[in-house]
Amino acid sequence: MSPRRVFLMARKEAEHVLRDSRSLYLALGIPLVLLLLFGYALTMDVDQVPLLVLDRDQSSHSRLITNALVRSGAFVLVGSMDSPDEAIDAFMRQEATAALIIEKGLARRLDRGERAQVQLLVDGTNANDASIASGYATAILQPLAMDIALKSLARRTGLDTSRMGVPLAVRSRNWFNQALRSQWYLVPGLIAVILAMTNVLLMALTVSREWERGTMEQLLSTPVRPAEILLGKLVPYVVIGWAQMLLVTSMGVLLFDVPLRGNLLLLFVASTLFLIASLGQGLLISVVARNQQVATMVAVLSGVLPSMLLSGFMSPIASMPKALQVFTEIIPARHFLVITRGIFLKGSGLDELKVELVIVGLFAVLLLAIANKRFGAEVK
Amino acid sequence: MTESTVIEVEHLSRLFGKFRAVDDISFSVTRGEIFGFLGANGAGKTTTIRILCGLLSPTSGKGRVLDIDIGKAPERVKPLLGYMSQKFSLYPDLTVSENLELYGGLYGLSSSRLAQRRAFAVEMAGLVGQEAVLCATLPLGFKQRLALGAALLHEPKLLFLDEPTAGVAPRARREFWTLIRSLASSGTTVFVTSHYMDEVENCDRIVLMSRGRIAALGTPTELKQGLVGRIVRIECGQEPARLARRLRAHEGVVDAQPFGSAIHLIVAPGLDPINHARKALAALEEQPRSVEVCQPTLEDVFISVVSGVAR
Ligand SMILES: Nc1ncnc2c1ncn2[C@@H]1O[C@H](COP(=O)(O)OP(=O)(O)OP(=O)(O)O)[C@@H](O)[C@H]1O
Ligand SMILES: [Mg+2]
Repeated sequence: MSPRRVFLMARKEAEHVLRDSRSLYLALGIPLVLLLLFGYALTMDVDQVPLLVLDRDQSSHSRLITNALVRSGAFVLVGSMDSPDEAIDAFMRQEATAALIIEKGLARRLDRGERAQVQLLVDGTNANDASIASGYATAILQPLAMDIALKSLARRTGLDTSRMGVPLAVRSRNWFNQALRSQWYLVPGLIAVILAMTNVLLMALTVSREWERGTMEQLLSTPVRPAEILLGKLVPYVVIGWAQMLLVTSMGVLLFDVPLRGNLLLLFVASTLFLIASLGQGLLISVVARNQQVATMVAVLSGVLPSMLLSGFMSPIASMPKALQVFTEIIPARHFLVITRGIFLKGSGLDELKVELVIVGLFAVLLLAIANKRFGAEVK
Repeated sequence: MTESTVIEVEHLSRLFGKFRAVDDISFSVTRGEIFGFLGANGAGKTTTIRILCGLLSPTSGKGRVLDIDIGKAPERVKPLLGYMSQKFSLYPDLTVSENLELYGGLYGLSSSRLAQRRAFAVEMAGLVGQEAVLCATLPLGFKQRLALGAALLHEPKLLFLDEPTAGVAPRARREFWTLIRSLASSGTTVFVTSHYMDEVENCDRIVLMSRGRIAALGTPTELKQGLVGRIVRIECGQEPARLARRLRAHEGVVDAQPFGSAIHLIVAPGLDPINHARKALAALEEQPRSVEVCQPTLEDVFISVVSGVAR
């Protein structure tokens, strides 16, 4: 291994990147776009659900229920309706996503101590939003129902129920992300996704481009060794990866107030390992594919999509089918995601994250070694 | 292997799967020679060069380049050679200087020697004052000369040029060959492949390759020797291809090929060429404008040899 030849290869590779607006966009533009997209546009928080109300009871009870929903901030009243059919129309026109239907006789039944029901229709087109909205409604109306039950008990029996309540209450608090802000959850994950997709893709193009142009042939005719070529290609992209890290982390902290509770150095080391794993994956693709089109396709299928969809970035792995859960183990981003979320939100240290660190490190070593071996075989 | 033998190849073969890209070839090249490899697409020229440059291992047979066994130690031969591959292979997004510095550096030139050789290469390519120009913007002829300059940075004793003039304008081609000849006269051995028959006349010796095999080997004069007095040029005006095909069926006609508006007819050895050609034409009831014996070109040689191999 000659340091001079590695340096020459790295310098040439850096010049390629700096002179190619497409690579630069991929390296720095995509992270920016993704961050803004997930930070602002695609938050998964559900609030201010537009609500329609059909109140056929027009009683103090029915008004209490409606008010409770609106006061919570989770729902906004956008109008009232005269028949349940109007709800569907409103869903179609996207003027409302939830509709509360209170039938006549609610107050009378409650006063008599009988069971009564209200109906909440939710637009299920977006399953996630729908389940969150109905969850909110249940959570808001549960205490109200309890209150009504106790009052009616007091009236009928004369008992003093003012000090009574549910004997067993679940009081949940959300540790690490008290306000349940989805950006807090998304930004650390986004670091993993961004590093994975851009670097696998960038790297997949570098070697295949040289095969395609014939420059690889020329390089290999000089005394430069295959391993020196690969190492030289790796170096500038690691530096770019650091820049991406810095960009995403500082934007997450400054724009979205994501807390960075853990050790910065640990984050740096873990990201570097993960970067090398992603670059190794790209190299392997590039070495084998030999043409840019195939390389791009394989990179998207094996790098971009899995790290986006199966890493636990958007949907929790625990809710995936069992077979898929097992499959996610071979996606490096899945393990790195545990590390970034741990460091950012929980302030986890080396002790809590050592297993994931070792796994990501193993991916880095293994992928590089295989890429190097395949490259060595490919040039013979 | 004598003192002055630079390349020695014995029964060299290379298979891709079952396909014999190079099939049992043997030859040797001596110091200072311009050695030409001529052959149609897919004949195995590039494959041979890649084996000799240590880029591809031979399936069987032996090859020694500058006294190094390329089957055993391909890495050792690389620093000693210059290679200009078939595809234009400098980086289009790097400048003239940057390309030269990259390759010079990879060959391990010291910075002072690199500066000196870079100046030489820039001058040879005719690009003085354009060192900071991106290679992508250079005309093809200049690119080719720059690639040659890059292959010569480390002053190799042996130079491989794989179709160096493909696609280059005739004048630039002539200039390129002037460069090659001056290199050879200063002691560099040049191994060059080409599609162009005319420029191969510049070579000291030529191999005609066909389907992985050596169909003929010799100096241009030697190769043409066998055809002297056997080529008849028939000026026929229209449909030379059709007439050539009909003539080929005639006894005593080894081959007939259209050459523009004329036909080159090769008659079997020992026959009177003009008489025989006239007889064949009369049999076909053709009245050509003229029939005369002409000097064989390498193209005639190539065609006769290749068709001989094919049969
Ligand atoms: N790596 C490879 N794998 C499979 N087949 C190959 C490989 N390299 C070359 N070939 C085949 O070997 C044959 C000889 O190829 P080669 O490139 O040596 O021909 P060539 O004489 O240089 O032709 P051209 O004038 O087109 O450059 C061709 O049929 C080609 O398809
Ligand atoms: Mg070729």
